[in-house]
Parts: sequence; C-alpha cells; structure tokens
Amino acid sequence: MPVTQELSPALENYLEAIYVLQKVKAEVKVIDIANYLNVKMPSVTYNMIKLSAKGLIRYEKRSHVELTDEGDRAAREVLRTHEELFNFFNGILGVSRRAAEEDACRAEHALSRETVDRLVQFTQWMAALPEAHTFRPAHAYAAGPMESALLADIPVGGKARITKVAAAGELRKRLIEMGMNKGAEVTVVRTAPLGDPIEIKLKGFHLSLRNSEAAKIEVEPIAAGLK
Amino acid sequence: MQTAEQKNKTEEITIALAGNPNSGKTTVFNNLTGARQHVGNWPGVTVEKKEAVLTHEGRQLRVVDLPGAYSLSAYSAEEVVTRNYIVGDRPQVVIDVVDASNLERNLYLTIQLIELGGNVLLLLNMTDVSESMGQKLNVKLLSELLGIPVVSAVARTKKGMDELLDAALRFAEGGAPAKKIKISYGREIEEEIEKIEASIVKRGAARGGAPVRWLAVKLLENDKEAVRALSEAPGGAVLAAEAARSRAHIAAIFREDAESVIAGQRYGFIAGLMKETLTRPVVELPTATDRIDRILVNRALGLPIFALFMFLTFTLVFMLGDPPMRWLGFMFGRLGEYFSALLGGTLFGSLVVDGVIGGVGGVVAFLPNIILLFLAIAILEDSGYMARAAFIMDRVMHVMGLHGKSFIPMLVGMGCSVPAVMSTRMLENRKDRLVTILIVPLVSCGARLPVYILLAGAFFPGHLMGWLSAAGLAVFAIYATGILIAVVMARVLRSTLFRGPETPFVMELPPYRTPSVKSILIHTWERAWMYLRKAGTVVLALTVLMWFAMTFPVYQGGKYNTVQRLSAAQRAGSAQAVTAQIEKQAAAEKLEYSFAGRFAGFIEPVMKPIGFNRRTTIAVISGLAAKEVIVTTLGTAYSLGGAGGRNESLRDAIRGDSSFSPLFAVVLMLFTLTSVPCAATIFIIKKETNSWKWPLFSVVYHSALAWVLCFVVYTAGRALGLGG
Repeated sequence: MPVTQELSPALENYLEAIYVLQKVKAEVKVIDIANYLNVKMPSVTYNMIKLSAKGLIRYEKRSHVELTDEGDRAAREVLRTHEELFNFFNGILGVSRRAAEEDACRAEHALSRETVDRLVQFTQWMAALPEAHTFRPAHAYAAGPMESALLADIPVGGKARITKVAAAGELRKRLIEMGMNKGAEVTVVRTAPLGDPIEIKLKGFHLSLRNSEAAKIEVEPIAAGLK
Repeated sequence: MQTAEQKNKTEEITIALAGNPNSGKTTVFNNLTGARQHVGNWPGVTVEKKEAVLTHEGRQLRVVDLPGAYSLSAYSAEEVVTRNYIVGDRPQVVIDVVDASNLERNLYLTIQLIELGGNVLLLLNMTDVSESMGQKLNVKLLSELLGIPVVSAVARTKKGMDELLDAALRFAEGGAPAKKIKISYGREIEEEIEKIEASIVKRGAARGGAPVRWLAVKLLENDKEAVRALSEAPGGAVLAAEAARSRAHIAAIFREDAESVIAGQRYGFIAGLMKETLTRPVVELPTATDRIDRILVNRALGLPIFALFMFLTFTLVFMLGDPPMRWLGFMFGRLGEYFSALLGGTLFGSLVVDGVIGGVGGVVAFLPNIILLFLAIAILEDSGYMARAAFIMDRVMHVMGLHGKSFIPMLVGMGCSVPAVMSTRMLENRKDRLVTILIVPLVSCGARLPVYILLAGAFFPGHLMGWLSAAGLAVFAIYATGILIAVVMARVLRSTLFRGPETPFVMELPPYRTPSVKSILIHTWERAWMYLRKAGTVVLALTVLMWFAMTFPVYQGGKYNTVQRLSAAQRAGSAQAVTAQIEKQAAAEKLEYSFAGRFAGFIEPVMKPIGFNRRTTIAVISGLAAKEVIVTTLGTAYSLGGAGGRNESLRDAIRGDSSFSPLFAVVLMLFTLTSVPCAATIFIIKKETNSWKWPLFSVVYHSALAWVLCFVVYTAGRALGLGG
C-alpha cells in the first residue's frame, strides 16, 4: 500500500475516486469527486491541496483535477489491494458482496502489503483445491438451530433466505408462483391478532400464510446487521 | 372490389386482458368499456366472463377480460380458462396488466404469457405509485429485453388508456411482433426441453396451436392439463415416459423437482431484468399501507377495529336500507289494495294481489338491502381491507376447515342468505365455496326474526334476574345455535363430501387503494341486476305456485262448525265483527282444504314425531316462499287473518293451542332455522353453482338436518317432562 509515502485512509479514498472518475469522464472536477464520495465541496478542495502538495495530482483552483504518473501508480495500488481483499472475502470466505465490499474498503487502509500478498497466495491455493475441500456457506458451520430454521420460527422483524420449500401439491404451487423460490429473501412483518396467519414481505409485496404453511419452508436466517 | 387491406380493416379485432389479481385489470377494463360490458360464464365452468365491443379509430375492438391469475399452471379453473383462450381463440393482442409498483412478481405471469406464444403487450399500470416509491424504470430497455411493446398508464386516473388502444391497434395491424425472446432455463434444462420438443414434433403430438416449446416445458413441469392432452395424442405414452425420465434427470442434478427449478429459473430471469432496468431507492421508506396496517392489523387493536367495521357496515346497511324497504312495502301494499278494489274478491283478483304483486313485492323489497350490502362489500374489497379481514379471521374460520374469507358471507348471511351466497364468489377454492354456500343458510337471516319474535314472545315471557328479557335471550340463543350448527356442519362437510387437502391460505395483502367509484357502481349494479333477473323471475313463479297450492281446490264451504261460529260471535259482540270472524274462520278452513293443506296432511305422519300438527306444517311449508310468511300463514291457519303477527291475538291463539308449548316453540324456531332455505336462496345457489345438483342437495340435507335436530330436541324435551 505505501508506495512512496505514507497516505491517510481518506487521501487513499480520494486517489481511488479520481482514478475511477478519470475512467468515465474526460475532466474530473471537484464537484464530481464530492458527488462520488458523498462529501462536501470544501473538504474535497482541502484534500486536493494536500494531494497536490505530495505531487500525486495536478490541481488548480476552480479547474479540473488530474493524477500525476506517481498518483496514478499509487491509486492503482490502492485499487488492486481493494480488489484482492474483496476476492478473498467474497470468493473464499463466502461473505455477501455488500459486506465484502464494505470490509475491503476499510481493510485496504489497515493491512500491510505483506499480509495482503499472503492472502492473494492463499486465494490461489484454495482455488486449486478439489471441490470437496471448498469452504462451504456460513449456515453449514453455524452451531445450533441457526443451521436450518423454518420460516415459522423466524421472529417478527427477522429476515431469512429460503433454502427449501418442503410443501407439496397446490400449496407448493401457490408458494412458488408467489415468488417463494429457493434463494428468495423474506422478512416476517407481523402475526395476526389471534396469532395464526403471519404476514411476510418478499420481492416488494406482502403475503400472508398460516403457521402450518410457514413450517413447510426451510430458511437460513440473515443477520440483521450490516448497515 | 374490396382489397385485402380493406377487408382486413372491417374485421373485428379481439383483445384479451390478462393480469394478476390487484393489478388494476378490472379498472382498465371498466375504463375501456364503460357500461357496455356483457357478463356471462366461460363455457363449462363458473368462472365469470366479461366482454365488450367498442370502436377505436373506426375499428371494432372486442375486449375480453380474462380471469385474474398469478400463474398459468393447471391448478385452478381460472388459469386453465386463460390458457385455453389464448391458445385456442388466438386473440390478436393479449394486454398483460402489471402493477408497476410490484413488478417482480407480476412479470412471472408475463413471462408465461410470452412463452405461450400470444401477442403480448405489457401495460405498466400504477406508474404513479412506483414513482412515488422512488423507483425508476427504464421502460424502453424493458420493452427491448422482453421483446414486447410496453405502455405506461395510471388506470385510476384514466391516464394512458388512449395510448393503450393505439398501441394495441398498431400491434394487431402489424401482425406478430418483430422479435420473440426465448427464456433460457440453463444448459441442463434446455437439453431436456430440446429432447422433448424433438419427440413431440417427431410424433406429431402438438395440437390446438400451442407452441411446441411451451408444451415441452409444461411436460417438464408435470402440468396436469398438458400431460392429459398429450397422453391422448399419438405416441402419448412414450412421450409421458420420456418426460418423466427428463424430470428425474433434472431432479437429480438440482436436488429439487423440475417444476421448482423451472419456476426458480423464471424468477432468476426476472431478477436479471430488474437489475438492468429498475433502480430502487437505497432506503425503502414505510409506505402508507405499512403505516395503516400498523394500526388496522395491530395485535391488540386489529380485532376490535375489525369488529367495529363489521358492526358499522352491518348496521348502516340495514339502517339505510330500512326506509326504502318500507316505502317499497307500502307502495306494493297500495298497489295490492288498488287491484283488490278493482278486481274484487274474484279468484283472478286474488291471483294478482296475493300471487303476483305479493311475489314481486317480496323480491323487490329486499333490493335496497342487497344494493347496499354489495356496495359495502365492493368498497371493502376494492380498498384492500377484505384481505385484512380474512387475515384477522382466518384463525377462527380455520377451525371450521374454511378460509378466512368465508367469514364475510356468513356475516352477510345475518342480513339475507341471497347476497351471502352471491358473495361467496370471492372464495377462489371451489370446495371452500360450496361448503360456505351450504352453511350460510344456517346463519339466521333477517326474515326469520319475525318468527322468532312471535314464538319467543308467546312462550318466554318475563325477565331473568329482574332485567334480562327471557324472550330476547331466547332469540339470541337461537342465533347462537345457528352459528354453532354452521360450524359443526362445515367441519362435517369438510371431512366427508369435501374431503381433501386443506386449501392453502397463502394470500396477497394488497396495498390499500382508494376504490374507484365507477368500479364499485358497476360491480354493485351487476349483482343487483342478477338478483332481480334470476331470483326475481323464479321467486315470482314460485309465489304464484304457492298461491295456487294454498287456494285450490276452492273450498265450497257449508260445513261451518256452528258451535265455533256461535262462540266466535259471542266473543266478537257486534254483527260486523261476527261477519269478519266468520270470514276468517272460512279462510282457515279453505287453507286446510287446499293442496297445501292436503300436502300438509299427507306429510303429517312425518311431522308428528317432531310435534307438528297440520296447521303448523302448512305454515312451515309456506316458509319456502319467504321465511317471514310463516307468521302470516300461522295467522290465517289460526283464523286470525293475514296480519296475525302484528297484533297480540296470534300470540294468544298459539299460547292457547294445546299442541303448542314452550318446548314446541323451541322446536319450531329450530325448524325455521335449519330446514330448507327460502326459494330465493335455493335458486341463487343454482345460479352460483351453475347446476341443479347443489340446490337439490341443499333441500335434502337441510330437511334431514332440521328433522333430526327437532326430533332429538322434542323427544329429549318430552322425556324430561318439558311440555306436551
């Protein structure tokens, strides 16, 4: 990560942003960077002056921003680290895309080059392993009832991903045509006043079904975190 | 001479409307067709068929409303109707109405319609809602990816309706769409599809114009209808075996049955479409529906609010319906007086006054209540609350083996069984519907109340604990008994005649919407008109028949009981009163002499074990015309004139009759409650089930039920020494 000099995480993010924006726009302006990173214009300007002082960008007030050769190298280094970490989190550990993206963003500034390089080697070694030795999805290792729950057991407000619809006949057909196929994500919204049918949300609409029916749907609970 | 093009221009273009329930399809249909719609049934099934002919830019368009469906599998009659219509009748354009704010699930049907090979035009309805949710849809790209034209609209405000017709016309004139997309199911499944396709083509098994690929996919899905159709084709058995092998192969690879894998792939395809064309807001804010539901289906408040809504609906309907009902009764009364003055006491006069005017009056009198009830049901249904009512009540109805929605017909049944039977249409499952139809008459309707009031008032006077009216308690008890019997009968029917897997409850809770006045009025009008036309004509015929049975053969008199006449004259005092009393006496004897009276005599041996004499038997037979007539007939039979129920004398007369007792009063109430429903109900059952089987069954089962219950109560009561 540190190529020529030590950079703060914030500055690394700015370099990354300029690099990405240069790919899609002819001229990158302060306002573009502010929009991309969702920060205020003055803080962009402040950091541009800092990067400019380190010789990583060419920047003139009220004009466009451009990476210097050295800046370009530094940005690519940051991005490479980001991608390598993302591949490790998502491809090897099986973390969801969103969580992998967010963690890579934070870890790229914190880990040493040596650790990242070893992770890359580990990723390659894992990829060459036979199928039987691959690291399986989270629920395969989770302890206790989390392993495979029933939709009927998910508490109000809980989220889950459908793993199997164990119903038959008309019920199965109704569930599947309503979008309760394998992999679909559902949220339990509420229980009816008398406690029986439950209301769930999936694919952007609301559905009600009896507890006895929800007991025929196997799910894996999704942690509520990752905001 | 006409050129081909000119000829083409004069031909009618058929446009079919398809779509999910709650997609606004009905609103679109109403917007396009207004009051021109023709309502009927699809051949062979009780699924409603609506169509209308309209003119757009000089072309005649026939718009056919297909039943609302989520999918096109062969499980429900609605879906089979849609399939067969598109494949068999080949409408020039199939407009698929989708709810833009619920695109993902709505497109599941779209994909199947495209696969079915129709000329599908997508109507994106409720785009205002999806926009307000912050969703952005690339309509052009969606149209390209699906390979079909797409029109945006807001049916509620009629936005986009002209554009829709323009697009449909262009589509119809341009023939088949330029580009037909193929939904790919992935390599393994595609291989199996190709194998079956080749086999179908080789054997020439494709029939009825369905695309071969669609047939192959249906075979893989083990679709009942497709399997049946192909088994009759040449080489059907071999095809079936091949399809079974392919299904097993797919199941082995995916560890899931082929039907689910295929459905999953379809949803996968849709998820891909959504990713490319739809931008959802990062944060989803709670919608108005979410906020409303937090109160209306709240765990603590949901039930009380529901009870309040039902109470308000019910009291409002009968409160507002009462004055017009009285006016109509008054008007028909005056009409009767006019004609009886005009025609005098002749037989023809009696036919006109008692038969025709009485019959028509009886039917028309219920019209205000029917209209109001259906207005209320339409509002509850179109606003989205009906689904919540089913959600709240399902726990209770489930005990009876029924769906939550069955609650509404039972509630309506407390007003009148006729609209209650009609309202069972909202039940999708046929078994649920039939069971509900068969138990609805067990809920005491308004017409039975006069009978209860008379009997309870006569035999249960006084108060309990000083304030609780015994008569009121008795009436309440008989209402409660009705509901209890309905619950038991539902369970019995569900586990005998209508056995089978429980109907899935799985039901969409649609977003709340402001109901469209036009849709509600059209819906209400349809029902009211059907009631007048069907129930009206038949009930009129039956009233005339009842009149005939109670009038003929004409009693020639001459054997007045002198002692009775004298004692009556003594009681009455004046000469005028004597004459009146003698006339009433004559009416009673006339009644016993008539066919109805003889029939009552004929079945007396059957009725005797449950405490009935000839006069009470005639009364309950007359109840077939309408339940409140029982009171009137009792009045006639007890020589008190037709208005017996209004005054105290009938009460005194039956109290003084030796065959009446508190026990028999209970039996008579129970019989009124459980025996054969009135003629209007029987005929509406015929209309709603589209066969004579269920009304006949209803007659037999209600008779048997009433007799057995009354026998048990009467025998047990006598054994306990209660009354004669």
